Amino acid sequence: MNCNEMRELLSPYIDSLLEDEQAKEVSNHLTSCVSCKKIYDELQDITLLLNQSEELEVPEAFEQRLRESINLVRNEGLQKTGKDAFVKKRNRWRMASSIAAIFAVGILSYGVYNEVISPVSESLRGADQLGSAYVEDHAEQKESLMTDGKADGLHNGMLSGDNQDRSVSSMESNSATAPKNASNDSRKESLDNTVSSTNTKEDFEVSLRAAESDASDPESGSQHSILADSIPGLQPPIDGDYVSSQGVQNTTDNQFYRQLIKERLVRYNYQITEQSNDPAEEWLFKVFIFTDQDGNTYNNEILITGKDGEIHVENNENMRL
Amino acid sequence: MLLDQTEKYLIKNAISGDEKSFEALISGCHKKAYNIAFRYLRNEEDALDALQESYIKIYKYLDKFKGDCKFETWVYRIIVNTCNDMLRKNSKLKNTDSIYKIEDEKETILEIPDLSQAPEKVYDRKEEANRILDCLERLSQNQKEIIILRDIQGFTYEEIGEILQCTIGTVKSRLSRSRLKLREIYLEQI
Repeated sequence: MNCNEMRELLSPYIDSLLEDEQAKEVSNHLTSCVSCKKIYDELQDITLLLNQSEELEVPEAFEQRLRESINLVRNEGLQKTGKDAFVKKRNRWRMASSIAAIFAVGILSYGVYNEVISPVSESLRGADQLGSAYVEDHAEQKESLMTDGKADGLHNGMLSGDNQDRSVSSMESNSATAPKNASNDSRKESLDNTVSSTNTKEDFEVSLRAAESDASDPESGSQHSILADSIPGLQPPIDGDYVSSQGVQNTTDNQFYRQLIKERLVRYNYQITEQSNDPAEEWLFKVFIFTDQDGNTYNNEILITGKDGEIHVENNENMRL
Repeated sequence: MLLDQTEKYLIKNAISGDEKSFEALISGCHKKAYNIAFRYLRNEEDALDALQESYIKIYKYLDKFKGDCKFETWVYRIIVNTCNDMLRKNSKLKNTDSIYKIEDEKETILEIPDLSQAPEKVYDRKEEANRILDCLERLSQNQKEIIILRDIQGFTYEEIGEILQCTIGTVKSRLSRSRLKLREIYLEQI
């Protein structure tokens, strides 16, 4: 072996990683070759000096700094998913109301074109059927979602934003694929053709069902499911006892108050566990506060009422929100 | 193995949002992680930035850890990558030719300084160590990285292979070339 080949082996030789035979060859060479021996000594010296480098302590202030960043990341993740879902839902509702308007115009045009009134009333009866078929199907779907464990309260709240987006969108696509057996498809088909600007077919179907069921059956469970989708990780309450006497307007109010709550509780990790409203248009939210972004744990439930465009936090003495 | 089970348990809890579990997970490799970053970036502030950025990545993507290596290996891998990213953004390192470069065909070395007999200059051991650490800056990122992991942090060849996701053979040859290069650069400084 020549000196060049030998030098390639000096490094593993220093680390005692050569096979016995090779190690012996290197050892023998070093006893007779001055230049290789010099290189070996220098390499060893450098390695030793590096080995003896001081191991530093992590500055104490770092712990607190890390905790704050993690909390920020966690809150950003919750807020981002909430905001994205809120915007999505708001846009979907707007689309639903325009589709409902187009639908109404379509019916009238059809009636006028044929110069017969009865096809119009038949069409309206068909819409009712469509709506109730959807409600029926969606009730089953809602049940399977609740037991699915996909929306799992706090746990989802702690996941990264990606995971939350996935769980929200998987709930959305579940509801989109549910009512495949709706009857009276002729008007739906024409709407399919008309509304080509919707994001996806699924978005359109959800909106259509939202519009139809809101119009035909104010007490359907669909409004609840849309709301549930907008809150990341929200487990729909088991009793599902929502009273929505004004359909579309109530959805807007509810979303409005939820937005106020979100702004008020921006520093906290929370979950709305229950909501209801009475005919006096006062909304009541039960909100469970887990922790704040400083890492303080509360695990307390508070009540927030929403009325006349404002929210008010009840039993606030312990929380000082 | 008991350790593996504990690790899995902590990871599962941390994914569910338990801060204490996350802290327990990273506490085991905290000091080493900081020292890797410090040796890479050479100042406390940058090292802490790299450490924070790495921990945030680990926190965010904890559910993506496949468990195909030890958790702390995964942590060190992320630290190394984060430091490399920071270095790439901040500076470009050049390789320099040394008069002590060993030619393939012939060995014409102009001068061989003898470290053991240098009467005019007395080297303090600590000063020497600092000089060598300065010389690290003149290595390429790949070379510097492997010297830090092996000679400063003391990882085994296997561990280095897992962190850098390369074979042990690659670790061996890279380390050999890096040490020889470091030697050249160091001798030029004297």
